[in-house]
Amino acid sequence: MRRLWILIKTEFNVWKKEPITALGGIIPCLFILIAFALLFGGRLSFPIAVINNDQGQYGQVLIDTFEKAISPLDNQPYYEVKSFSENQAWKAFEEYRIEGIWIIPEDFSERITSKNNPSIDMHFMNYNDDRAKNHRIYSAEILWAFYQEIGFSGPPMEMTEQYPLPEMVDWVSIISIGIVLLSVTLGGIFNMFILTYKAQMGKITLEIGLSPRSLAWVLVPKTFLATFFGLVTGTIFLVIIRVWLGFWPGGYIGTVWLITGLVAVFWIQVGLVSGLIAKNYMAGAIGSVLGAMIVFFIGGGLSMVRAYQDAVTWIAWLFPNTYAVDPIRDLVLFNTWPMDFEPVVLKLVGFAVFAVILGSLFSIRKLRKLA
Amino acid sequence: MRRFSLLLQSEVKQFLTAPVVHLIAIIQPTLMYILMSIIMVVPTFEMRIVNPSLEIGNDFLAAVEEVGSPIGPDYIEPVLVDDATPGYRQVVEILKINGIPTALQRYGYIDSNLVKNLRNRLTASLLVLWNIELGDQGITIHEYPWLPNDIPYTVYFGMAMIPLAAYLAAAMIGGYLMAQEFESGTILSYRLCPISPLLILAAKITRLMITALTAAVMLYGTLGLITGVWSSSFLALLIILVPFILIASCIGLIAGMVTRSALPSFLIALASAFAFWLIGSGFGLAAGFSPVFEKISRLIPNTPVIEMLFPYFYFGRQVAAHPLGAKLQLAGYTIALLLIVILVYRSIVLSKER
Repeated sequence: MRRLWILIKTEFNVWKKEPITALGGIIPCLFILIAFALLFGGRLSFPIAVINNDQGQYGQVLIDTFEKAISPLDNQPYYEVKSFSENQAWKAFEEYRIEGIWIIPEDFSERITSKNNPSIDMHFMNYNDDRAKNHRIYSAEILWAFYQEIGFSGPPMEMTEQYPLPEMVDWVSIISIGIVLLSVTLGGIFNMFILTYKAQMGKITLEIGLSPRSLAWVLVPKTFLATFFGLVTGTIFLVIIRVWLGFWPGGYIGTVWLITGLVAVFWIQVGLVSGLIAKNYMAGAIGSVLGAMIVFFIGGGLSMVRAYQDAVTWIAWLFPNTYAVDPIRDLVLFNTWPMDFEPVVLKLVGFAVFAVILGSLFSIRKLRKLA
Repeated sequence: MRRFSLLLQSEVKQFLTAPVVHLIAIIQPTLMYILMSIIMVVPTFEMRIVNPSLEIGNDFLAAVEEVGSPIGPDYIEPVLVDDATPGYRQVVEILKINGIPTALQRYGYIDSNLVKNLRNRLTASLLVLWNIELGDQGITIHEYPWLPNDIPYTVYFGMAMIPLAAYLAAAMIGGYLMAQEFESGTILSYRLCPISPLLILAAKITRLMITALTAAVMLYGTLGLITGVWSSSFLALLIILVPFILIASCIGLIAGMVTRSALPSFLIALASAFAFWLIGSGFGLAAGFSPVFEKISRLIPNTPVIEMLFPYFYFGRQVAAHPLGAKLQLAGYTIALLLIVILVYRSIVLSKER
C-alpha cells in the first residue's frame, strides 16, 4: 500500500508540472456549453411579417393571436411579428432576415362570416426540412388559438397535458448534462495523456518495461489519478451548471461520480491503448479526444437517448456514454432515482472491467516489448 | 521560387513525421458527418397513442395520418399501445373528461423541446378534426415554400461542416507541427537559416492549405454521395474556403508558437474549431436563431463563409444580407491574422533572447 501511495505521489508531482492539461476537460466543454446556450438558450421565436389586407376585423385579431400562442420551448410566442411594409417584408424574406410572410386576403373576415372557405397565404423558409416542419405545425397552433379567440364552436376533441414536474426542463439543460459527461471523459483522457506523455518524453518507458515487478504498479496509479482528475473536472462543470442553470444532484452526487467515473475509466484505457498503437502519444490523444467528441454527439449528448432510442446508431451502443447519460440526467435535472440504475451500472462496470483488462494486457505487452 | 518550392517540399515531407495525426485531422470530421447524418433530426416523430375505445378515437387516428408535408414526409408515425403510462417519452390517451372527448397527452421526464414537438403535432392532428367539423368556415392555409422542395437537414449540416473540416485540419496540424519544432529543438534552425521568414511562413501555410482543402473536399464528396446534393460550382467552393483556411492556419501556427507544447496547442485548435463551428451557423443560418446569437455568430469567420457557400447548394438563393460586407469581413480577418502570425514569428522564433 505504501508503495502504491509513493507511486501516486510521484505521478501527482509529474502532473503538477503541466496543470494546464487539467483544463482539457473544461475549456472545450465550456466553449461547447456557451455555444449551445447561445444557440438554443435565447428567444427562438420565428420572425415573420404579416401583410394584412383584410377589410374586416378578423385580420387584426389573427395578428394579435400570434402573441398569445406560446411555445413551451422558451415560453415565448412561436412567431415574432415584425412591423414591415409589404416591400420591406419581401426584401427581408429574400435576404433571410425573416422566416416567413403571412398574407391575409382582403375578404378574410367576410369569408369567415359567410362561411365561404376563408384562407391565408403562408410563405416560409424550407432550406431545411426541420424548419419547414416547424412552420407547418406552428401554424396549427396559431389557428387553434385563433379559433378560440373568435369564439368558434368548440373543437370536437379538447386537448390537455400532464408533465411530471412543476416546471419543464429546457433543452440547454439536457445538453449540459451530455457536456458534463464529456468533460469527465475528456478530463480523464487528457490527464492520462499528460502522465504517459511525460513518461515518453522523459524516456523512462524503457525503465518501466525493464521493471522486475508487475507493470500494474505503473498503470494503476496513472489510471487512479486520471480518473480522479476526470471526476474533479466533471464536478467543476457541475458547479458551473449549478450557478448558470440552477441544477444540482444534491444527495445523488455520489451516484453521479460512480456513473461518470466508470465511463472515465473506459476512456482512459482507450487513450492509453490508442497512444501505444499509434507509437506517438499525441496521435493517440487527438484520436481519442475527437473520438470522445463524436461519441458525445451520437451518444445522447444533444438529446435524451430514451426518447430517441430508435434513432441511436448501433455504433453509439458500443460506448458507455450512451448508457450513462440519461441516468445522470435523472439524478441531476429531475432529481429522481433512475429506474434502470442497476442494469446501467452493471453495463458500465462491464465496459470498465473489459477496458481495464484489455488496456492493461495490451500496454504491459507493449512496454515489455520495448524493453 | 526555387527556394519556396524546396521549402514546400520539406514541409510536405513533414507528413511522414506525424502521419496518424494528419489522417485523424483530415478524416475525423467526415467520419463525424457520416455518423451524425444517421442520427440527424427528421421531421417524422413517433407518437404513442393508447388504442382508442371511443368512436372519435378512430377519427383522431385518421387525422394523425394527415399531418405532414405535401412535398415531404409525414410528421407523425402513430404507435398504438395498450399501456397509458408515458414511460420515458409520452403517450396520448383519448378519453372523456367531464363528458367532453379529450386527448390527454402524458409526458415522461423529457425536455421542453420534445414537449413542444409532441404538443404541436397533437394540436395539428386535432385541428384537422376541428376543420372537418367547421366545414366551409374552417381556414385553409395555402403554403408557398421558399424552395421547390423541403431540403433534408443533412444537406445544410454537411455544408456547414465543410469549414469545420478545413479549419480543424489547418489549425490542428499547424499548431501541432509548430509546437513539435519547439519540443524537438528544430526551431533553432529556423532562426539560423538565411531565408526570409516570410518565405518559411508561406511554405508552412501553403502546405496547411493543401491539407485543409483535402479534408474539405473529402467531406464535400461524402455530403454529395449521402444526400445527392452537389455544389453548383466546385471551384467557387474552393475559392471561398481559401481565406478561411488562411485564418485557421494562422491561429494554429500562433497557438503552436505561443504554447510551444503539442498538447495545449491541440487543445486551442480543438476548442476554437468546435466553438466556431457551433456558434458560426453550424446548426442553422445565424439569422434563424436569437438576435444575441446572430450578433455573436456574425463575428465568427464561419458565418460569412457559410452564407457565401449557401447559394451554391440552394438553387442560387442568397441569404447574406450584406454579401460584400461578408467578403470584406473575411478579408479583414485574413489580413489581420497574417500580420499577427508574422509578428509572433518574429518575436518568438527570431527573438535574440532565445
